[in-house]
Amino acid sequence: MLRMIAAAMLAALLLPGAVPAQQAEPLRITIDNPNIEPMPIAAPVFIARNAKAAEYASDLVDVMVNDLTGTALFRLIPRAAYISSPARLDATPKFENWRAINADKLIVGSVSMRRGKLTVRFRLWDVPSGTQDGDGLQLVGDRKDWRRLAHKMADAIYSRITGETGYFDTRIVFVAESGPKNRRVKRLAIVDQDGANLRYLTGGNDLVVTPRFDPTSQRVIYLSWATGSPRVFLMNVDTGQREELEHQPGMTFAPRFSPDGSKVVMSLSIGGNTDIYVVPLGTRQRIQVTDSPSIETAPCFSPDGTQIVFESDRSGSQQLYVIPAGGGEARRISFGQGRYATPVWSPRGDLIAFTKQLGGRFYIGVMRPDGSDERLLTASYLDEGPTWAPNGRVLMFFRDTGGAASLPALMSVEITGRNLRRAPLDIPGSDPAWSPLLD
Amino acid sequence: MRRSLAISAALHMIIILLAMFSGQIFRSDEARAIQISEVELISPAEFDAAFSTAPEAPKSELPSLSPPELDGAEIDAPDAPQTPEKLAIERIGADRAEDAPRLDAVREEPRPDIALDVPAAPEAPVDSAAPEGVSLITPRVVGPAIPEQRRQRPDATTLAPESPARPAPRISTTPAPKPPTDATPAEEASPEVAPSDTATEVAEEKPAEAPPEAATEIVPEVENEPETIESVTPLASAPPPKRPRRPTRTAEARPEETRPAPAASPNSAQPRPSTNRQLGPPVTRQEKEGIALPIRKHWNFATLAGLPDADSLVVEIRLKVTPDGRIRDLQPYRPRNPEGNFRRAFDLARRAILIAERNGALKFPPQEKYERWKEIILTFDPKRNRVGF
Amino acid sequence: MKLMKLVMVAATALGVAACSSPPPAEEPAAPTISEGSVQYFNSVVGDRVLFAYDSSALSDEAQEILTRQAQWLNAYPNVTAVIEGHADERGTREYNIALGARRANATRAFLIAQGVDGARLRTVSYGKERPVMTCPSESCWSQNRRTVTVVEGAPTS
Repeated sequence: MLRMIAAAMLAALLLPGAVPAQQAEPLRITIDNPNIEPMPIAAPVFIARNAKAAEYASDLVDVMVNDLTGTALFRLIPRAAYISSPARLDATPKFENWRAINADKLIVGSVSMRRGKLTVRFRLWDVPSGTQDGDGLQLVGDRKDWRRLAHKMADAIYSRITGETGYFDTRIVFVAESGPKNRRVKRLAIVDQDGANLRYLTGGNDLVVTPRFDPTSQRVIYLSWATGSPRVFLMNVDTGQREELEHQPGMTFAPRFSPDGSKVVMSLSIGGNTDIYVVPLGTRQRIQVTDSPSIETAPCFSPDGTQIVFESDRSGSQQLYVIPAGGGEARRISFGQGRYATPVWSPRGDLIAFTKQLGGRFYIGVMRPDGSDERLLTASYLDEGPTWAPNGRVLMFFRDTGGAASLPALMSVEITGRNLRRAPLDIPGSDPAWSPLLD
Repeated sequence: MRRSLAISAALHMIIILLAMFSGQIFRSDEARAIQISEVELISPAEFDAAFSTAPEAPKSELPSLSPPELDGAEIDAPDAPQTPEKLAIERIGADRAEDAPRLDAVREEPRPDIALDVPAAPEAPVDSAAPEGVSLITPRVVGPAIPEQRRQRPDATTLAPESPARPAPRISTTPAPKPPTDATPAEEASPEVAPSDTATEVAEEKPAEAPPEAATEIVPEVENEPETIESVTPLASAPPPKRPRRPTRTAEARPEETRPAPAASPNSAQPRPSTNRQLGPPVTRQEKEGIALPIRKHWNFATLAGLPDADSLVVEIRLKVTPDGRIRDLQPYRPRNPEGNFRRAFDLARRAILIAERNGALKFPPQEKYERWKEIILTFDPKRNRVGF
Repeated sequence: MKLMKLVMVAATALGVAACSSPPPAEEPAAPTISEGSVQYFNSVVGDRVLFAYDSSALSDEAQEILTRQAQWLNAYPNVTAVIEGHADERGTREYNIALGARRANATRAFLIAQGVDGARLRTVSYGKERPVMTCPSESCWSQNRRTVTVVEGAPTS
């Protein structure tokens, strides 16, 4: 009944509109295959609100802009091209001056300093539409943390424009390498994501490899031969404090934290056979996850902690498998040609990154957790050991070009395959691990 | 009970129908199926080409890496615990000026002054903003953060009423000005370098050009009340002082600067065709390209291309176009109220349209077909070939 | 029966070793190396065996060398040994540690089968971290896929 009334009303209302028989449908046009090119941004030197802040006015912008342009999603329009510069943070920019130089976004900021504390404020403007992108932000921090203030700004801007969290206020722990291949010296080191503040964490007498960050803190787990055998160690990178994970027989290696930081998954080799174990950091009592005469190693938790992806040669060569974190049936997920190794689950869960070997070359690739949609992103003599930026959009890994004198370099690539580049680090390194975002 | 329900339903129906009748074409916002494009294989040659610029690993070690003599002591032992301190982050008000310059002939719908919604919480004076002697600062809110929804965004950019005071720049006969890729160096510095507070803008027909990279000078964007450095402007309170109305400009002012007065007389040269008029022949593919190509040229999807759902961020935009080829209305069509990443996708698409229009690059089909193109729905489908192999 | 076989294999190997050893008189340096020394073990007995790619199987040649090692270790019961497992650089780091462990264990098991007390034999894997040769080709990689028996508790020379 109701329906009939509604239908009648609909007909009555539509009738007059239906009269002009020549009314055209809107013209439909589809536009596809968009450009992928850096977005031009303008970032004038910040306004110094008092004399003491003046020295930071351009450094803050430069560090922030360097973060943004390093993604290859943005490029800075050279300041020399700017027609005007904002004199006040709260003034609406003269957009015509920024449209004239084809700026898409304009970042205007101010900085002041008092008693060693910097106060930074900025606004992000969308130039074509002449509107503000989100609210202005104010950041306060110690003067010595000025680079972090810049990274935080870059994170906020990146997030507003791309819809994903940024990854600029982060650090990389890695293995700094030096010396010839047969007398290689390896030291744990930590560096800001943009290459600043390099600091060594170990001395170089002990062989150390594969540091990995706790996703919830600034704690690192790594492998060291300090006791004469490969053993897993924990270190607080801020205090330098170290401890062996456990004192039990066997070689332990390939450690990684669980997503909540409460457990470690790793390999234990006894009698030449390598299986996967979980060690809760509270009890430190090993829980066996796999039990097979083949090699099971390079385990990594899924972001929800319910599954573990690892590599095994049970089929005859290295392939990737997923198993429930408490043990159970392992399901093979890699079926392409070649060998698959070092699986690492993306923090956002949608992809698993891996190292692939095929035809004498090494590749970094990604696939979905069910093994579908495999894509290789890089290739070289040796590309190995991917690690995810905390937003799951960028991978870092290391590359060795081969040769008696070659030293590895840290590289990064976006999961789209774009922006393959050397990490901004001027020393050789391997085994990078990305920290979570700092607080 | 049932009766009141029925009445309510009927009233709702009427409202919906009225909305439909008032010109909006009703469409359900059904979710589009997510489509995943096939992974494109590229040839080894292409791959090598793509990576040929890949940086080489360093060929030699750095001297600074020479291993230290001792174990243990030579670590860069943190002098103090190096725990990174928390940084305080706060929002500052979403103030905006009322007289923000706007796009050529495009006017945003009047919006409430958002700053008024914010209980005035003038920020503490500049130099006492940071609590002293506290190293770990938790975020402190200066004035309530403004919820995302309450922030007005100019999705509904509505055109100035009907007709412009001048003929819109139709470029169909002359080659469209080459859209500058960046700050295209001009032969000479663009006269816009003139200080902005000398209110007479220089009449300049050509699209604004950036001065050569060695700019003559950069002019501070000062309004007529220069701020002393130490003075404090509450961030979350009132919008900046109104810019004084500019003196009248020369008649040939640049398109960006000429905003037709709302009450401008209708353009008699281009009478609005009646709706009963003949439709004319169908719009050809080539004629569609005259609209699509300039827009695609400015459609840059880089910032969203890495999202897991990037390919599904298809947005449709409805344009209403005047007979003389100006966009008088630009609305999101599907999704109707884009949010989140659809919002960002919409922004990128709108940007492309606005720049193409500003450059005078859009070429609409001939007048005789106006009934067919007075309303255009543009579908922006970001699917593209992926990099990788 | 098994033991009998082993003894025979050992005897044969010993014979081969004896035959292939040059007469002491013709070796000027020889007199200075004592048979119970680390140097003798490393250079005369042979401290390392090589493996095929991604394999921990002991080749005939490897078994020959390990048989000599076992005889030497049995002759000097106070000596202990660490068996290092190594891999070439054509594998990933963690897998290579597991592979090195597998190789070291294969070597250790063979020595035990030859009568060496397992308590004297410790294994450690270095994966691809300690190559002896550095060129990026098979000639070097084949030398790096190895186990090395490092004896302790014997005089150096």
